[in-house]
Amino acid sequence: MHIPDGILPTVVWTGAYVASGAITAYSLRQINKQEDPRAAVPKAAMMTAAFFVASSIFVPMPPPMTSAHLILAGTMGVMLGWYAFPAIVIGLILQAIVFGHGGITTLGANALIMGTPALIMSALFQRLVAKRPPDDKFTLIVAFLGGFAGVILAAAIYYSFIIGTLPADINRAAEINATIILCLSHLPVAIVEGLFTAALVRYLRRTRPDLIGLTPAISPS
Amino acid sequence: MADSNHHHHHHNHTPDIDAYARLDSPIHRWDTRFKLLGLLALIVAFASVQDYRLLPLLVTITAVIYTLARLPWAALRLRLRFPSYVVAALVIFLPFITGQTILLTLGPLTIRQEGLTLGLLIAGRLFCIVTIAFIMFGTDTFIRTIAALRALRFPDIMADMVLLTYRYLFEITAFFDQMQTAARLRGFQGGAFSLNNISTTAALVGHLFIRSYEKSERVYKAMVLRGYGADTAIRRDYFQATWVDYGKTAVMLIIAITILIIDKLIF
Repeated sequence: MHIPDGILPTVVWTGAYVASGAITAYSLRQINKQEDPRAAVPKAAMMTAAFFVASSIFVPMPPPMTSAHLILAGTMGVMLGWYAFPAIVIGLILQAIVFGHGGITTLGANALIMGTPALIMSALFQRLVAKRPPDDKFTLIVAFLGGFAGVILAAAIYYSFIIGTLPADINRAAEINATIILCLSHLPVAIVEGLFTAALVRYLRRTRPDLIGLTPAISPS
Repeated sequence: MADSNHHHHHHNHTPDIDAYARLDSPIHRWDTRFKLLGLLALIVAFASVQDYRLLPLLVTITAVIYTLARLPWAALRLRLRFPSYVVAALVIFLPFITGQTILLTLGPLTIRQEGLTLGLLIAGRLFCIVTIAFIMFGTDTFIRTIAALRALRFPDIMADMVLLTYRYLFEITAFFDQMQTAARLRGFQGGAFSLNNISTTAALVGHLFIRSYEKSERVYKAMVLRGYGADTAIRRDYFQATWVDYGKTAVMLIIAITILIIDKLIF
């Protein structure tokens, strides 16, 4: 779900750059409050690369679809905490420089599409789940909803950018309806990502609970 | 490069982006910092063009700079393949859904002029910007581009992370391929939709995350031993711009401003 160059009006993409620049700066400030901020950099970089690879895989979908990309916005928030937003920006920079995908002028907008769900999920997961017992069902429900809502929210921001800025001569109500319908078309993907996220959290909870924020995932060692 | 000691890892795969970095051309010889600034100004100007009648000018400017950069045309064709899909998926509908002036009616379909020119405008801006971005990053090594960003006040932590992420990307891709092959040999059929397949995929990805995390702990210890965390600032003489570099950037700025003026005032 990337907006390419050439589509958004200048006001919108510069505004998105300012917003995502501010969020990145705020995240870096939170990171810098740690005792040795650079100690966590290799870990965050390794996880960014792992997410980059993981988001390129396809998961099987119910018919009539065959398979779809994982978006992993919610999962990134849960696993990377304050590193999630910078990690997304870095993924987008690499995509632009190395692969020529994604967009230069729209990098800020694309960071908001992925990064907003990541930040919300990071906060929610910390608040709702951090102190639950290890075999708790509620954690898996939150994980499902996190993966599910991550996709829907990313789609909502994506289509708002595109539909809200095209000078198409349809009225506001029709634009909102179109956005809702397009988001609903992502329901199957959202459900699969929800199931995937719950399964992932169940797996990590058994093996390395510290990686999903049950204790801070990325901390200087 | 510079004093940063962790940037010298050997890449097992020659990164695609450095393939044309060592050619010689006026664009290759341009100081990386000034090249980034000059071409970025051009991209900003391209992105703000509102009138489709400027497209021939945009395409001409892009083609001239591409020719000057002496990059192979086959490489550009490859770069433009992905944007072509985007155009096919998003832009092609515009003539049918927006505009008042009817150009053509084909049974139930009407092609409208405003939608057609909007589609042309978006596609033209997209192809030109992608091409300029390819020139911007393709005429320098990846490492040098990041060093230039650092010199332009891009945050150090972010620059470190970009380099490290890039370095790990190849390793993790190779490891993930191995894991997938192993899973397939053990009879995992990723193809069909079932709860079982989803949780097997989740376990694969979970295992990937754990392996990556544990590896990063070892990498960090090794990096500390080699002096990571010491000053990674760029030596002051790493980049040296001459009046030729300023001149090239000035030309780009003049072109960018001219495009903006023509778009706003004349058309």
